[in-house]
Amino acid sequence: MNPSELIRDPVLQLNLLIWMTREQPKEYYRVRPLFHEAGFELRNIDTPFALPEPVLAVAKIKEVAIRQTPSPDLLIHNQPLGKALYIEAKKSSFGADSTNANQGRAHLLAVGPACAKSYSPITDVLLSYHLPEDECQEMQACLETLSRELLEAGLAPGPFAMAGFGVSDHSVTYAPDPTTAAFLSLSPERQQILSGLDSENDAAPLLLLFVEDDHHDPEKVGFYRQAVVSQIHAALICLLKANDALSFSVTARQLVLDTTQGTVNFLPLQKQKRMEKLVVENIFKRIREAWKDKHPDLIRLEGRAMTINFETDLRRDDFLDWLEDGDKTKFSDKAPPPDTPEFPGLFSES
Amino acid sequence: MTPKPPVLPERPKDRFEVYRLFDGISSDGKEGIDLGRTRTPLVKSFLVEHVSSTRGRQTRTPQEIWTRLGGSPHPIDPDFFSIQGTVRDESGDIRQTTVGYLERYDERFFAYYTTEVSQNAKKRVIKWIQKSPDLDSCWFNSDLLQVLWNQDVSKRGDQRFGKLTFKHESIFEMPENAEDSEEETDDDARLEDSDFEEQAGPERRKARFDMSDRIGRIKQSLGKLQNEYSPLCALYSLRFPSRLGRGSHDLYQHGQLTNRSESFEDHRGTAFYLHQVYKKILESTESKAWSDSETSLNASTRPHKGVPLIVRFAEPLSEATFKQWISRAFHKKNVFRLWGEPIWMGPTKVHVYGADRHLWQPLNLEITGEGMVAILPKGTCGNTFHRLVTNIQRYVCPKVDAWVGSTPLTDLMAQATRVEG
Repeated sequence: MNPSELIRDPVLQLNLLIWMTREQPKEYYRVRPLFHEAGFELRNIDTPFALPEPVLAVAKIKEVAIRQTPSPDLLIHNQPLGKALYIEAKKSSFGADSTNANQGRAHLLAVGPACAKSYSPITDVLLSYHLPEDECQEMQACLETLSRELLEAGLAPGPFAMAGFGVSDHSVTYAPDPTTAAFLSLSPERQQILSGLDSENDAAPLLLLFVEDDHHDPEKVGFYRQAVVSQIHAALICLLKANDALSFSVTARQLVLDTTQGTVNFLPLQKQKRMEKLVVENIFKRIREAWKDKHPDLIRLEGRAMTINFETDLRRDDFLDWLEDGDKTKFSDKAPPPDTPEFPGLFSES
Repeated sequence: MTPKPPVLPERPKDRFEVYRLFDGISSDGKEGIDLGRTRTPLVKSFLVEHVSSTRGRQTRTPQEIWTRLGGSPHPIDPDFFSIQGTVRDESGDIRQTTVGYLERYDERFFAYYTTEVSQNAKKRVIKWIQKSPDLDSCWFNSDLLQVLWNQDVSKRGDQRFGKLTFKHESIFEMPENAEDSEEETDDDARLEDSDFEEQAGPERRKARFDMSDRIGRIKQSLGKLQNEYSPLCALYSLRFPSRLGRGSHDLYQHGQLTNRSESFEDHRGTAFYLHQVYKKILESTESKAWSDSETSLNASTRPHKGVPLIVRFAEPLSEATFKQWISRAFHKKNVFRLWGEPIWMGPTKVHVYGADRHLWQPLNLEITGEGMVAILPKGTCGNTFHRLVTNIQRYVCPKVDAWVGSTPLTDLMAQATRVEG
């Protein structure tokens, strides 16, 4: 993926932002940790935020369309300074009359005075839209319109700002607007966050947040799922190797928790379920299929749990040899069929 | 003539009987070294790590581990065990005998003391480790040996004798446009020095260099030489002059310590000191690196922490060398002991969401021609990273810079040696 695509891909945008919170060497960073350097650390990823009832009541009376539970893509905070940056990442701007505007109004209210207590002990919260630099101007205009609408309806929006990702020569740059820069105590100058990029290697950093979404490029549609499936595969082997019993049970939930190191708990329920479904469809069912002729009783699937009855050490070794060999397991990175309509949230289209 | 190991008692009265026996052997050994002919093999220790009980793994006692390995451990006291093994006697017959003693320093670290010939002892320990996914060597990588030299050995007296051995072989180095070599890099074979001479294949960078001199003279020249020739950064073993008397202790990358002093207690003290340094480094690596998330949504929690482990190669790898390395590194018996399916992101970049093939713990890697980024999920042993760095310096690029987050690995190591030294 070239850098221009990278800054417009919602999953990679988010991964870039998480990398920016991770401590790294100044002289050889992977993604320049500007947030970490400013003393900000990651607090939440896509955690739904419940707007207070009085706010929802006013919005209903005044017929202001808002989403009831906005979820910032990222919330980073600096506890000693009592500051939090509420980040919404977008691949492009949107208009005040688009469906995304409902979400935009909700974000503005979520950082407003009515919600101040929710961030305690943090006292100073700023909403900052992060998107490609050439989209910032339109986004600014849209947020000004939305903010005005809210004020006219008797609601109290909070402060908002922008930061833009750009591409220059062989690097990806980050340009906070003056408000974001002042809030983070960063220079408002455009700064390199990914450098030394070349045309031959994909610019994407190692994924820190795993999702089972499609990649925006149809030619790489399974890219993110491939990473998730590889991790789940690794987690399953590691669990089996650490446990030499002749019968072994594992749930899709346990593997997803292991794989994401608990991050999954911060995702909307819908996404959690889809991750579990990926485990069942692409891993558990493939294992059952591969072994059904050789040892029909080896694998039992019940709901989202898999039980393996090895019976003998020899069969266990045989199974583990198979599981270690990617050429044999051939776990698919195709999306499992959707079972319920997805509600908008993380990585929603702009 | 190969020195013959002495007979070791299986059931000594107490551990001090073993100490006295090894003291005698050490004294004979030192005399032999001085005369240029050793009658019995030198006493040596191997520092071994037992994977801690994180990631749902159960900690096992040495007795449980070595019983499973066929070592028939006999407890001499709660933390000291005799270990049995098969040996071939002079007539060629195979018999079972006491081959050494195991001391548990703590729940995580053991020392195995033996008087077997070095190659046999090394093979035995490697075999144990290969058979036990919860055992690993303690990996004293070149940077750590260099820090131990800077902080400790170089301050033990300019007139004393020191010895540093450097070893590097670019086993993955490929001339541009070369065809893939079928040569495998089995980790057993890699530990044998003879391979350096026996290997077939294309011309590659190989360096083995012993620097044996008075410490003062080594100090004067080492930095300059290392700046001129990077394989001299691939420190493979380091001699520690005894603090108590005459002689020394040779520490090797894979955690072997050979006693060339006249006292076993001095040797054991050195092994224990090195274990403490190593333990401290591992713990600091893990406490900084473990990526973790609280499951609570409480606003005051820190849901995501953990820093990446980063390595920069002083000399970027060519595309051919990079391809050769990646195509071999994930093979079953390769010295890197990595498992996973590399996702190729370009000719000199891969992402791997895989595992440490030896300890079977998850590990995420980005490897490029210029360096490596490792993410250690919570519970993945810091040893994995130290083994990776050790092998990169030995087989890929002799000079590297490594960081845990923004802290240079050498600073972290220096801190550990300053406190304990």
